[in-house]
Amino acid sequence: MQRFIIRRLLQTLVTLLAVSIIVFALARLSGDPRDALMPMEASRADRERILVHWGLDQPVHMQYLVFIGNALRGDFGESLQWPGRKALDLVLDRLGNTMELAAVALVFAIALAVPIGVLSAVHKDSRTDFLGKLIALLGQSLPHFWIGIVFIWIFSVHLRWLPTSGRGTFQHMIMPAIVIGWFQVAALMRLIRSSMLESLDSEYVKLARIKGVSERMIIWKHAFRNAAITPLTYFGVMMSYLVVGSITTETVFSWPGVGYLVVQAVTARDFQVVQTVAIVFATVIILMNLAVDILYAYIDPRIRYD
Amino acid sequence: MKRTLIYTCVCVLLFSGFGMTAPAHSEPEGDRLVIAFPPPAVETNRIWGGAWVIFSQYDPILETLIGNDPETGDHIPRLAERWEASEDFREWTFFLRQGIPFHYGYGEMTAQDVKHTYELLARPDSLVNMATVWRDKIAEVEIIDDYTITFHFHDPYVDGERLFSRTGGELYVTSKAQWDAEGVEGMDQRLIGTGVYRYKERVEGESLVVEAVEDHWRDEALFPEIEMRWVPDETTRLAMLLTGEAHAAELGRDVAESAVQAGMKVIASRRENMQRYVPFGGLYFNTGEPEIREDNPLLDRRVRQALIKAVNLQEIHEAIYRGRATQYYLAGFVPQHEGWNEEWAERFDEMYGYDPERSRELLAEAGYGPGELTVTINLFEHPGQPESPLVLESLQPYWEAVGVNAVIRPVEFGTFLSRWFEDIEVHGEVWITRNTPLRTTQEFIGFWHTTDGLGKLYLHDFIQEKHQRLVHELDPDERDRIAREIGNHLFEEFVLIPLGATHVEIVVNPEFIADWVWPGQAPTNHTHYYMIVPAS
Amino acid sequence: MSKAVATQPLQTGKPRSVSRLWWRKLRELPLVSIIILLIVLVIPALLAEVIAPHNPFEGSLGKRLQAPAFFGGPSEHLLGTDHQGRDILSRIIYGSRISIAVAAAGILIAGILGTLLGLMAGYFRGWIDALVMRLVDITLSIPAILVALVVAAAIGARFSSVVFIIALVLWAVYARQIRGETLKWSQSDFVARARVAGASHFRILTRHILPNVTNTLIVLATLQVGFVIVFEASLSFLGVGIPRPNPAWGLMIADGRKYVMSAWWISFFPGLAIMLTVLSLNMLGDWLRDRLDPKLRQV
Repeated sequence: MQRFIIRRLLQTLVTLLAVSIIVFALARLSGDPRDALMPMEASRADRERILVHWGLDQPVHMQYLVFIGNALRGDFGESLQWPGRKALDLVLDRLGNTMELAAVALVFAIALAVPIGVLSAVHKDSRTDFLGKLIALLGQSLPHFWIGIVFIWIFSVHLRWLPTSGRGTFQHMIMPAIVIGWFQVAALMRLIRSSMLESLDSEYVKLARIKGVSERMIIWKHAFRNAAITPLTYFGVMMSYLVVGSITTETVFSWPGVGYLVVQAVTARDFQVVQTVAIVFATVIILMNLAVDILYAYIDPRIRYD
Repeated sequence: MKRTLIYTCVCVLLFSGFGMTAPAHSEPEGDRLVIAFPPPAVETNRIWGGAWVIFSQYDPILETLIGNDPETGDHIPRLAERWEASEDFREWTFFLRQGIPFHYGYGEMTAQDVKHTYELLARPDSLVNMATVWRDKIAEVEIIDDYTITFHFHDPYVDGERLFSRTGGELYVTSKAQWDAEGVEGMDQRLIGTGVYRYKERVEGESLVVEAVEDHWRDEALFPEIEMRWVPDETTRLAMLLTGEAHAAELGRDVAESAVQAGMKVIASRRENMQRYVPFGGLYFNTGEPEIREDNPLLDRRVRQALIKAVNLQEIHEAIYRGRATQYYLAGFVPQHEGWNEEWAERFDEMYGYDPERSRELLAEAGYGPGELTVTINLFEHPGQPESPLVLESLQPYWEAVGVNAVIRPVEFGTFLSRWFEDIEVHGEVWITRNTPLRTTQEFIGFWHTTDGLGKLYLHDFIQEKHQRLVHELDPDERDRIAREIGNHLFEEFVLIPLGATHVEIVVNPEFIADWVWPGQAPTNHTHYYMIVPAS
Repeated sequence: MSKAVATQPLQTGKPRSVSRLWWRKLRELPLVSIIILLIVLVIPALLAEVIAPHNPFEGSLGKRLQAPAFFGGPSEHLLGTDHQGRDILSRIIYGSRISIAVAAAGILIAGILGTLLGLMAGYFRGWIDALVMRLVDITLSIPAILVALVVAAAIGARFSSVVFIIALVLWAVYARQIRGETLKWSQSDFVARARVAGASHFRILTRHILPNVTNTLIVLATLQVGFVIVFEASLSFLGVGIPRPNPAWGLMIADGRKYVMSAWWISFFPGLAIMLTVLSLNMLGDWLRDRLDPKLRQV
């Protein structure tokens, strides 16, 4: 077990290093921050001077070595666009908001997916199954931003139930969380449904039936408890979709998360922030997956650590 | 046991998000005025940290030496009671008003604070528009006494009134006392100025809140608090306005139409602040760099005229700018500035007016049959200008109608700027750009039509030479004459498509806001927050 | 009771059994999904020139924002006109081609690349496996939209950049799934027998393993078409999708969203087209999965 974790951590480091190189190169391919950040009046000399000030006059490989050297000490440099702001602080501040939304979205997704998944497995190919699937699939059938705008139109402008946008109370989170979470319902529901079908088919459920255990007990106590473990594998992937889905959703609901920050940073060619977002994001995803793997290994001892 | 462990882990994973959350900002109070704006390029209190557009955040808080009349935009006394330029325009002296207090008890505003602000703008990492002027054109800033300060320029500088007002400069005075006591961290915490509203709170990514200054030295704040809320999507800003979450919002003209139908009101700045135009790329007729590319069809004057006459400017004004754009005649030239020529107005229709028939003839004269001429339209999202992509997209059918292949090339704005400014690779292409705030003629020509400027829209030795004379000429009549010569040349050469001039607009809820009077000629668009009048 | 009796003879009627079998098979098919797909996606794409009433690119500012014919607008434009005065119905009809092209190109590239690498990783194990799995990790940990934004900034949004991003997002999903399956099949008896019989690696991979993973491939691809269409729309919202003036559905909703109050039809109808298409595709995909590959857990 320990060897497994150590190996996985080493792999994580390799992955992160590769991510840093890719993103570093991509950012520099995207253009010149001076054109995005400097006024048109700036003279040639000014443009040259700012380049030196930002350290972008150095050869690219030197820039990378400086960057990675500092990054290893936890210093991701200062944002080009936000004067005086450490890129890492900026990203972590915003990431908190994004995770907050993602967590609520996840709760919503699970709350909707579990009953639908279980019911559609129990009543396979029935009308309930169809209706459940329809609800689950609807969330996946339209882009986040469009559902968001339609929601704002219905629930804020016409019904006046919820605030349009911004961050503040729990009411502010409801619509963006549903938009992000709904997209995941279908995937989660499918997983629960298929593992439910499997465990409903298993020997111990048959045995319980023979023993005359009530149907409700069979479904929720015996079958579901065993089926509930499976979706855990998907958790890491889902978290990454949740965060990615937040980019457009945050823009529509003006939620001050990392999603909209990314858009701003790319537009401004703020290399430091783009790099930091990518690396922080990758770390979160990888650690999530690692946590899930370890958890899964605990649950299912049959998994070999090789 | 095992099950407990599993559920604990699940819970930890689930709520790891909650642990990281920052506290939410305070809820808006009842009488706070909320204005929904697109997020500024940079949210910072460091006034040297970005180009003009970021100064819209400072407008309620900070003041300039010279003010702008809300109705006319004329230069009026503000922090400076009066000012004078020397005969040779090398020295600008300001006599400051006495007894103006900084917010939050940072003492009285004096010449020291003006010089301190100037030094901030001249920092090596300064990104303000006029950084070159502050750094390279000013030789010395001399404090005569606490209330008198002189700026010494290397060369004659005729546009001092613009530079030291909101029209074309960024000397928004902030406190030296704060800087000395708290350093840049203090400034990051709280921006100290002398304006009618003072800095209350900034929540990054969300908003900036200012509150009324009691017994202000000059004017009265009519709202206890104003919140500038940063909202990226235009549709969301509209929704906020309609639900009453925002009392005013910056909206494009199409979206503003929806708001008006729902009972909202569009308030425009008192004066026009922007000329928009579609330039023709690669017109380098000067000797030396950059060089023309012979295969650029736009080098032919007839082709340029044909492309202009194929476009129904009137229809664009009506449909896209919703009737709120006016036709101007030559970019960079307005009646209130040097070089204006009445004749352009008279000849405009014949030379530039919509006439597809004539357009086809001109193309034939230039040797292009139907389908033989190809023009590339660079299509990009223009920050703060929702109408720009619509206009660029609409050019295609106009040109296709006269037999020109109009190829739309999507490009990201920053990338396009690189190609335009750095690589100078825009031969045979068109795009959209603008003149805002309306520059002085000399500034405009220098930037767009000489090799010194980045714009390089149309270069010619004639203009290069005349501009040099203009820079060194001090006699007003002679200046006017030189500027007119340049204008006449540009007008005859069809150097661009003059799309239309527009005002700055804000859409307000008339239940909360009765009026907002501001001139609109500043690069920060919305100014004079103390002129926002509540409805009741 | 009487009802059951009444239907009894029909059900056991011998001469009808063949046709009944067909009918039952047909009824099992998600017929509604297929009909919707035909109407919204396939037929318009095949016959766009014939059925589209107008040129999807041709517009005039004088005719912009006209309401649909059944909503008080002129009869010339059944679903109204957009912000450039173009016919929305025609644009939706031509847009189906773009949706198909983007999805097909993206999924084909991702599928081929992912399958190839997944097969090799799962079959040869060792360093190839390690390398491929690291690549998968790297791909999955870089936010795709970030890459999309950067690529669009660098080369400008265009059809090829959109396809590239989609392929980048999807290939890892294929690679991981196929690797897992290959691992399983490599250890099976028939592969061992083939090996003993002296079959080459190539032959084992193509003749023995690949056919066994085809079902997974088909199901994955069907489910992903919907994802691609929705993802492309999200790219358009960020300004990095299929560029203007192309009649891409996603672009039409993204551009039309600001008219949601004044001219709802600009974004509503393409939105409806996307919704119906993706919903039907997912239904079809689920149905296929239940039949072909019930154990597939991947979304």
